Amino acid sequence: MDATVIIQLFVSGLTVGLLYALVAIGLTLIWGVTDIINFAHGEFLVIAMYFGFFTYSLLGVSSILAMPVAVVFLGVLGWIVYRYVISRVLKSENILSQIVVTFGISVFLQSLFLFLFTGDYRSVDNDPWIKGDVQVGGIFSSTPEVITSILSLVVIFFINLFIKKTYTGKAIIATSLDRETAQLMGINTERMNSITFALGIACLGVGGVVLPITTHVSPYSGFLFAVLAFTIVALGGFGSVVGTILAGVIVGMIQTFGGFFVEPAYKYLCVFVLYLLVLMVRPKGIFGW
Amino acid sequence: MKSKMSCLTMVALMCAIGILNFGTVSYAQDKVIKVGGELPLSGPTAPTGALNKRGMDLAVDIINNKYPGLTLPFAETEGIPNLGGAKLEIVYVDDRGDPNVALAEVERLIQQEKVVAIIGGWQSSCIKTGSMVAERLKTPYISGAGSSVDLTKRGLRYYFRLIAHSGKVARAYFDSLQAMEKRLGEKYKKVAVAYENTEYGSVCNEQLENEAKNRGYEIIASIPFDSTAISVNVEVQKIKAAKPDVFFQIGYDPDAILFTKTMKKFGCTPPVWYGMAGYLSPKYIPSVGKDGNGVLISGWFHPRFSKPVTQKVGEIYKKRYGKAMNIPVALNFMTPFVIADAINRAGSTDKEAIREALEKTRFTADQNIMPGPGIWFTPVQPPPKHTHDNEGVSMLVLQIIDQKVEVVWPFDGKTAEIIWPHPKWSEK
Repeated sequence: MDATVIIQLFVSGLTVGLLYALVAIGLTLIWGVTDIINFAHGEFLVIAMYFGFFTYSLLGVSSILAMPVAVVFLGVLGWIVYRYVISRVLKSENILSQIVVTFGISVFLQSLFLFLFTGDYRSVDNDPWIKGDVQVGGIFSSTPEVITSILSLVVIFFINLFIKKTYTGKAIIATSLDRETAQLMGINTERMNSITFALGIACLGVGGVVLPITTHVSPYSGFLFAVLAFTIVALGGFGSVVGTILAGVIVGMIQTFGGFFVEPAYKYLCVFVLYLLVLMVRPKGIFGW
Repeated sequence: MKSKMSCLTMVALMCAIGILNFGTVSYAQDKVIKVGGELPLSGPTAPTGALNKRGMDLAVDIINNKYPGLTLPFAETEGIPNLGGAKLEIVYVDDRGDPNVALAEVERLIQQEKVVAIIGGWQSSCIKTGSMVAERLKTPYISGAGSSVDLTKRGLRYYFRLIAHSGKVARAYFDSLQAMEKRLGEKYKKVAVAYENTEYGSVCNEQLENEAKNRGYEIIASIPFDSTAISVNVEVQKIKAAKPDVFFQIGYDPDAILFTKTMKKFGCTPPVWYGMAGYLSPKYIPSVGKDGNGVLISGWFHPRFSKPVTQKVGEIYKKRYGKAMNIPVALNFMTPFVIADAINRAGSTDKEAIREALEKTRFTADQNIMPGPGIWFTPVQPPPKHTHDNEGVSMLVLQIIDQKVEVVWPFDGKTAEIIWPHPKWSEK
């Protein structure tokens, strides 16, 4: 086997893995801190994707210009959803309600997309700023994928910095480790929850706006990303930022190498087999809190 | 005595009103004959669904109004002659490209809208479920599309298909390939297929594999992918590593675009590249631009095909919609004519009579805009033989040249010279 093929697979796995990590980082924060499993994570990503698409199709400008708007919008939306929907369910202490509420939000958002935008598939075919392919030697990638990979590393770096070096970040960690003790120490845990939820959803605005350049957006586009994000979170450890990026890359590599050497139709199967194996050995994930 | 007379008068009056009403309703009902139109009007193949609808709407307009000089059935009359000039009306439903939705919507058309037949269909998976319901409810179903060879191998009595099935498509592909091998004095050996994993793609892949093996080619890669795939990076890397001589990509609108973009990203250029339905989408060329040049496509129709009726209808379509007619428009264009003809010969809207009339359908070449000698159906036969498959259909092979679709095979019917081999990305 030609070494170029292996290197190409490695590069492909790395770029797709970093994209997955960017999607999963918000989920790991939300799950790790609030204990809420956000089944609507994929649908919030789709909101960002529609932002990117409509910026291009209606305004004729690069979809990346939608990024700051998408990040702010999703952050505010995340805060509103937590404050007025999820926090009330958390108070009820009914675990089933906590699971069902985000599932309900997911169904609501999918139906809303279908109503507003129909089920048609849309994509950004000729973004004025982010286009073209990248070739180094015999190794290929695309400009959108390279940009998304860089953004992923930047976002995860700053989130990690925020969590580790700021008072609010440390308060979030404390809340996730022991909520009652954190409250006794004077931390407003409810506020930490809402900040975490908003931050987790806002992260989706970064990569989501670029996705329509490489793939298509429809009301159901978020499903696969959400499933893979759950896998990455469980693999990397709930609440672990470093674990998320590592797990994202591992998932990207397994998907790419597994799909190539086993069968492309089984690329996701390889990912889930790995997930089950890791869970059996280390249930809290690689770097779980 | 007086009260008895009053009662009798009242009863007689009521009977008269009832008879008049019945006659009025019956007369009004006979003036419009409703048929159901099943198409994907939203979802991943919505652009092609919309084009199908245009073709069907134009056909109904020709049937219901006078178009002198056209050799299509009912062009010289208005409405269906043997039913007092009753107009044909299509009641459309959106199957969204989902076979479960198709099943429910076809049932609703028959049970609630009381249509006398179903026409249309685009995706084989949707036609499969829709026609099963139609069979159960004893309602004729004519699809202009639906290339899966299995659709007419089920022995269904009420289902009829116009399009050349994937077995004929596979034969046309390999006939054109071998014609080029003979012309160039070359021999291609290795074949790779990437196909979407629903009814259409899976069955087409089987036909291609059979045809390849029968003609001495080697299948070096046969790669299914999800019909709603968001990425085909792994699939394309696998194809690139296999280094095929001939590559077939069988899919719908979104994956034709995704494969083209991804093959370009990885610098993958097989010497010969055949595509199918997705490459005929109105979105394909606008999305990929010159990157689509060189792809060979299964051709069930071309607007410049040298048949006077094809060219005349093409002119009418262009005048109405501002664009040339293409395959998604043409495929279901003939379905209203076929059903109207059957209703006319049956002389009634009785579904069984329509079904029997459909079996005796015989359109000549001049009465059909599609390539081939006409339209007539195989009889009901036990599987695996074909039931109600159109025997009068012929295939073309098209190619995208300078972002336009041209006929390149058969060579004597071509509208442009074939580009061979598939150009490299830098040369497009």
